[in-house]
Amino acid sequence: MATHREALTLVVNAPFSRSPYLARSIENGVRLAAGEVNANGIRIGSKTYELHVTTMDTALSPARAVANMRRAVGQHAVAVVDEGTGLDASWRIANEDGMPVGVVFEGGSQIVDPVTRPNVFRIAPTDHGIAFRLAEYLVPKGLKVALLHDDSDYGAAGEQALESAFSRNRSSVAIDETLAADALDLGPQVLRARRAHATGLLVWGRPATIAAVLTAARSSGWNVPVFTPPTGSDPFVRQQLADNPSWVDGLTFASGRLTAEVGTGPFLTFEQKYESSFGVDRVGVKSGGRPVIAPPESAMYAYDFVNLIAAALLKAGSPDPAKVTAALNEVTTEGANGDQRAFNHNNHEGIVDDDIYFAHFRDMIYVPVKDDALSATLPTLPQTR
Amino acid sequence: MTAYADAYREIRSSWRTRRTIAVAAFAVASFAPLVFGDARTADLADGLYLACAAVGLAFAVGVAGLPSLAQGAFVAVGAVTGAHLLAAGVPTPLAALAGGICGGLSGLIVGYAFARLPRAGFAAATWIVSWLVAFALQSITWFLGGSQGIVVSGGPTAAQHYELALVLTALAALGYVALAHAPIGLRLAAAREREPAALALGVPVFRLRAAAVAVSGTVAGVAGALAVQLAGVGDASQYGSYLSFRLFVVVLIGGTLSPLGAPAGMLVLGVLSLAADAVGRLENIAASRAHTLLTAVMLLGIVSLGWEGIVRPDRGSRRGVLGTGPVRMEAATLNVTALGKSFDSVAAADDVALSIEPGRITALVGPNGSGKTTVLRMLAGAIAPDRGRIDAPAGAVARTLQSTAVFPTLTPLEHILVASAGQRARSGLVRSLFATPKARAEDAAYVEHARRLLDRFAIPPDVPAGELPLSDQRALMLAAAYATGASVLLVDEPTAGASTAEAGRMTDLLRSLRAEGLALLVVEHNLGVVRRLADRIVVLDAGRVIADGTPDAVAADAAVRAAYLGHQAL
Repeated sequence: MATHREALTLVVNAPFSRSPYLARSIENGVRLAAGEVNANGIRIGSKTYELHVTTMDTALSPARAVANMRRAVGQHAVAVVDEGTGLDASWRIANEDGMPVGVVFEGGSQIVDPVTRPNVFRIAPTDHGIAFRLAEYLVPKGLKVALLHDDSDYGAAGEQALESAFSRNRSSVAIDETLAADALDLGPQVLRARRAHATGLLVWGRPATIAAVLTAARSSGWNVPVFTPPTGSDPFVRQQLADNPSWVDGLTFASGRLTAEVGTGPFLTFEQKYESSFGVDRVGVKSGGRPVIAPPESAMYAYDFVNLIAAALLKAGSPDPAKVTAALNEVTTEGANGDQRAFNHNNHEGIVDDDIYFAHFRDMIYVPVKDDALSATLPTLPQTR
Repeated sequence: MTAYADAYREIRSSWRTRRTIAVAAFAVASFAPLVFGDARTADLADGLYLACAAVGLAFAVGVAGLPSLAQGAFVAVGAVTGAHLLAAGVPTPLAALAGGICGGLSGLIVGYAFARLPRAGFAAATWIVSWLVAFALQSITWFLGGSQGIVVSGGPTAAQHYELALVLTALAALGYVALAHAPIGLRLAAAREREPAALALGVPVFRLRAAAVAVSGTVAGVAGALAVQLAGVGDASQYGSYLSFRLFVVVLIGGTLSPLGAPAGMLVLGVLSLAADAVGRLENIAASRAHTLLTAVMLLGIVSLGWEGIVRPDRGSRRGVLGTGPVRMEAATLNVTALGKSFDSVAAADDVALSIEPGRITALVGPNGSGKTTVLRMLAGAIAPDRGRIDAPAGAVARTLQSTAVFPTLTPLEHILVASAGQRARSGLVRSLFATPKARAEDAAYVEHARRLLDRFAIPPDVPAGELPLSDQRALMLAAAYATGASVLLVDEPTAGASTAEAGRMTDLLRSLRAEGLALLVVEHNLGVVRRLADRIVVLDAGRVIADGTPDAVAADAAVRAAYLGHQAL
């Protein structure tokens, strides 16, 4: 006889219409974890619960993100998995019901604060961590870096993080420039960086900006090394430069590591499950004649957060969001890559800055660099199918 | 208390079924927060704030005839103001007030800058303003923050915002009614229908239009400031030029000539948006794109089908009581010396001298192209002379236009009220908006005076002027010019195309005005009428006065006969 199960709503608040790749990736991670949790259900007392996933589109608009959060509260959601847009305003609405919010993309330092925002958690690299790791990586190389950031919200946040990270090493900065996020030709700005005797470009912006900078530099014959935050690994960059694969070579990005000390096994298992449920995320370019795929990075963070929610539900012994939020500070799960995922009352960051690594592109796939202590220990993930 | 009793009686006498429906709808709507949850209530409140902004826009589009595509920009100005003040801890009412002031000032600037443009130009210019504001909000993060926006916490709950938005929308609708029926609304309507005719009646068209855009901007600013608090965050992406476009479509769907049109339009678009969401989901189209598509299709439909809106205008009657109506200016003489005007190398008027005296009819005649209309327009102040001097007390001169130029949808009564509005002491924006007792008393007196005037001119007072016979329309133009209170009337072609009986009626009217002591200058082609009517005739040829005297003297003038009359006999 089938057991009756009560539904617990889990909301995915992400920019489905404006950044569909990212949003779908987050949604897929949530659905994968929810499916696994629902296989047995969550038994609390005499009742069994299962997670129902609802998606809401923020369209990268804070106002819509806030309205979505209101709807999530109205639907008595147990938690929200959030890309991060508008969280400065929306967390209060969730907090009125004590509902936990898990941020899985935006890395702004103000977003997470266990004291003032007790219901906000994050499993994603922070802007602060990425910027400081980049500074730590680049300054010893003796590079004169051109700091280029676009005028998107993401670029503006990066500008702040980089300013802080390079504040003690201003001599390593050749020039600091803001680029138009929607500019098709960034030749003049890249030329200014070259004339400022830059020996490296650090581009903090949307994938389109990174592609435009690479195009401007490489088409003028400047093989300068280019460094970026995680957006450098976005498939869009490679798609834009598909006709000139060699222009992507030398692009190095910083991101949260996908594999743990235990090796590639757990992540590859997760990736396999992901692909069997949703198929592979094809980048749309080839490497060595084989199609390149994108490992499910954002999906992994979302997947881990849902597992933490499931653990917190069991720990709380109640679907009451406030109790789940409190329990999130006390549970630990094994993440998709084999790392331990946990929060506590003093720390709501799931990715520590030390987990940020660097990888560079060779023939459209990325390989961890060898001149950084952490990155050198990491294996290269298979990225062709 | 008498004023309140009068007001109550007036409301009772002018009450209509549609008003009962509107009040009932608002009453029912006020219970929505009891039915819906917080999130849905917040969505409804947001829609109501937009409806409120749309009512303001309807005043500019409907009453003033200005196709403004900047209303979203005014909402944005209010939102930016509100967001900064609310984030700084300023109380909600003050932030809303400041939002309204900033929105109003923005409207005033836009109004003054573009009110002289033709309608298409006004629409294009305001559309560009919308783009500029949206671009500024997106580019300069100080205005509304970056991806996190400007956080606005605290303030009323979603349900309280809903009730506030409902009350504001109702107040905006009442304000629309008050202003549309006040002299400012009538004068704007006159300018909307025939700008040259309104200018001829002394309507300060461009100043009033700027004021209309300012009023519209004020309402939008208040709505914007409150909506930003409801949203909890000031978000630049909410104020793109699409918002202006959407508000414009809402107003066109609902109807621009009724205050209930905008809320009705908002309701329809809201329901259709739900349908668009459903279709968007089926077709895998993002909601924002599905809405834009829907709105564009709606606009296309409205324009191509000539749709006048869901809610059509409700023409109420006006009640008059005896009181202090308009007072005619003292008799004055219009003296003209050495007047000259050239267009390129052609002299339209050259060294023209004439005197228009009280209690006399002076006829200005001459062949086509002799410069009569140019002289008339200079005397009326419509164009500036290159040379010469015109002496008359300020406001003493009014004119009628050459062709029949009534305001087709306005009643004769409203024509007279438009014309006499310049003499009113209590018809300002604020008095009109709040319908103060003194303003109401003055209004009633002017209405009574207008009815008596129309009775004297034998014109039915309450039918749209466009439906009157041509002879009544001519008489109405003369009555309107007379109603300005001017003591010198310039009458252009009063019997053009008229039958003998109609010409007789017009000459009788002109004689009665002469008997009243008015100074009249009549430009007329019908020489029979001129001879019967005029005390004095001035003949123009090639811009120069070639004869000036009594009808008999001019008729006998050989130069006139040769240069102008040819074989005709005067």
